[in-house]
Amino acid sequence: MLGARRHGRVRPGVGWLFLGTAAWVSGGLLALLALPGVDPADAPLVLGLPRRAAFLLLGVGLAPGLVVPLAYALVFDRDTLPPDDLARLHDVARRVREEGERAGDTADGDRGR
Amino acid sequence: MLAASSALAASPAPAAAAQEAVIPPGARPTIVAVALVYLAVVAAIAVWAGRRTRTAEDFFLAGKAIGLLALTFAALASTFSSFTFLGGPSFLYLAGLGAMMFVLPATLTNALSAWVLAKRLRLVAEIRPVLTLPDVVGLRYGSRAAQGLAALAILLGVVGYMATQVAGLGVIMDSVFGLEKGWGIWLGTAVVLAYAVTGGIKAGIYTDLAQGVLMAAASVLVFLFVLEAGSGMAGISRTILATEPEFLSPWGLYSPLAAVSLYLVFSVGVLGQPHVMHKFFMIREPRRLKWYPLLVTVAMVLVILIMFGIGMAMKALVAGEAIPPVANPDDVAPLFLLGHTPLVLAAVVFSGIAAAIMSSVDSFVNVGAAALTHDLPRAFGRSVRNELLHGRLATVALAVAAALTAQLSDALVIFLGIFGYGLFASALVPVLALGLNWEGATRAGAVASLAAGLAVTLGLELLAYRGVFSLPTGVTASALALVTSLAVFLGVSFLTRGGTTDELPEDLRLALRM
Repeated sequence: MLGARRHGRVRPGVGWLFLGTAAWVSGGLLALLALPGVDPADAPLVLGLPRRAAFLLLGVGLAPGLVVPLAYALVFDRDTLPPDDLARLHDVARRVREEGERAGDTADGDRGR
Repeated sequence: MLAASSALAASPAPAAAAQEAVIPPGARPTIVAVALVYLAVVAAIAVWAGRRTRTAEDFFLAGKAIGLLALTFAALASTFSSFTFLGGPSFLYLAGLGAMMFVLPATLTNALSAWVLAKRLRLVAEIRPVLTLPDVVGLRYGSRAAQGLAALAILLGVVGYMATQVAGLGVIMDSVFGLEKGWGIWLGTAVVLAYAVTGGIKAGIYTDLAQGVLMAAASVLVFLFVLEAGSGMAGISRTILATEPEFLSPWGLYSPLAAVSLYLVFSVGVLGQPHVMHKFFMIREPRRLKWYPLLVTVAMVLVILIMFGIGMAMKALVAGEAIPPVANPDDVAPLFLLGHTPLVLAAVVFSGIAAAIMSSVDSFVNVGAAALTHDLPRAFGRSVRNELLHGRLATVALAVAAALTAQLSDALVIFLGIFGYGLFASALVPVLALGLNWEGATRAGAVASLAAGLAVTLGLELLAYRGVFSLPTGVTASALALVTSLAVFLGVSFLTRGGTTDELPEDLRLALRM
């Protein structure tokens, strides 16, 4: 959540994404912990795997691993690094550099005298 | 990860009528021929990159000019190393589905690291001439001590990690290519040095690109052969369920607590891996990071198929008595490849294993050389005049040190490998993952956290190595050190309130806030 902050705040949609993902993963792991026993030999299969194994691999492992990066790409231009932000950063960096160079020149001038 | 696999591999294996992976004499020429083709590609990349490496920024950061695909596959190759191909299938074969807890976090942590670290690191590199992660630590906290401690942690961890990788290279050269282990260590080191010294990280990145594409493609192909050998995934599951149903429970043969701990440690720990984070500096333009998490996740899922597929198929083949039990768990992948895939594909994967190790060594040696020649002198208020030349010399020195360590002591290699991962995580996660995103972080918090991470990791691992003390089962020194350094970072930052962000120059402040 900290990483998604821009100028001290997180956009609600991104915040909900993080909370939802955390709840899904931790809830999924807790649900798997709560389910007892082992699967019988004739257990129903989902995509060729016992249901709990399929839920772990595809639900807890794969699904958030695809949804969250996709969300990252979809909100990137608006919430992560808009083009205006980058242009503004370049402007500020140029100004800081020029001020530094001027201060350096002044100091050099003072030393020269 | 390799060490964890090795620990499990030490458990007794079925002895009766067990089989070992033996390369058929007729197969060796094909395997060697594929390896030679791979070496020729690496050599061509090294020559190409060497001609384009003129400055320290070229050598350590590939001139900050790589594209999205190169970043994706370089991160993929650096993250997975040989574990996925060799240790991973063995681990799954032994531990059941719980072994997947090592790799499942990788799919989620790509987005996590992009949000938490990639943007901030790349933005700082956009406005300041940074070469290394400790450079960013130094700038963020305005502290040479913090920069020096971060560099020290990287340097110590790098040598340890490299030693494990180089030792693994010796084993591969021995078992697959028929070279004696000692020769394998030195030949593999020489190959890495050839491209790491001439082309620096630029050679490493483009070697990784070729290798990453190969890894993903080979993994998918091998998975198709897995499905064929086991009569589909349903056939594999049914065979295993009939004989050992616990194997396919979500935690496999692990305890649930140990499996969930693995998931958590690897979720957070990945945020402290310098050889991966370092690559975020290199992308040509910060906004190209947009599709990085999705691309690298898809690539990782493809590569994970080989670990999952071979481990599952071999378990099913043994359970269904189609093949005898495996005598040495490290032979799980070679046995499947030699027995159930075309020889050329097996040869490509064998070369890929060696290539994966070499790519990790290259990444580590590069960040280690930067720590040695760039960060540590700066921590003492000095700078090295010709960083490119000294970077190359440091690369040779570190690689030779790792090869010597690998040759001298197997026990020391395992100790250093575990120590390296824990050290990276405990030292770097608080100061970078938290510190670049939390304005309340202070200089004192950063220095104290780095020192605590170094001391706790070194202390606990050393005590365990000497047999003086050991942690309860399921509790790792890495996890304890990480929790301690996080607590120290937060605690000391709260106590020394008044974050350092306001003291930063305006451009750096903006890069951390946007």
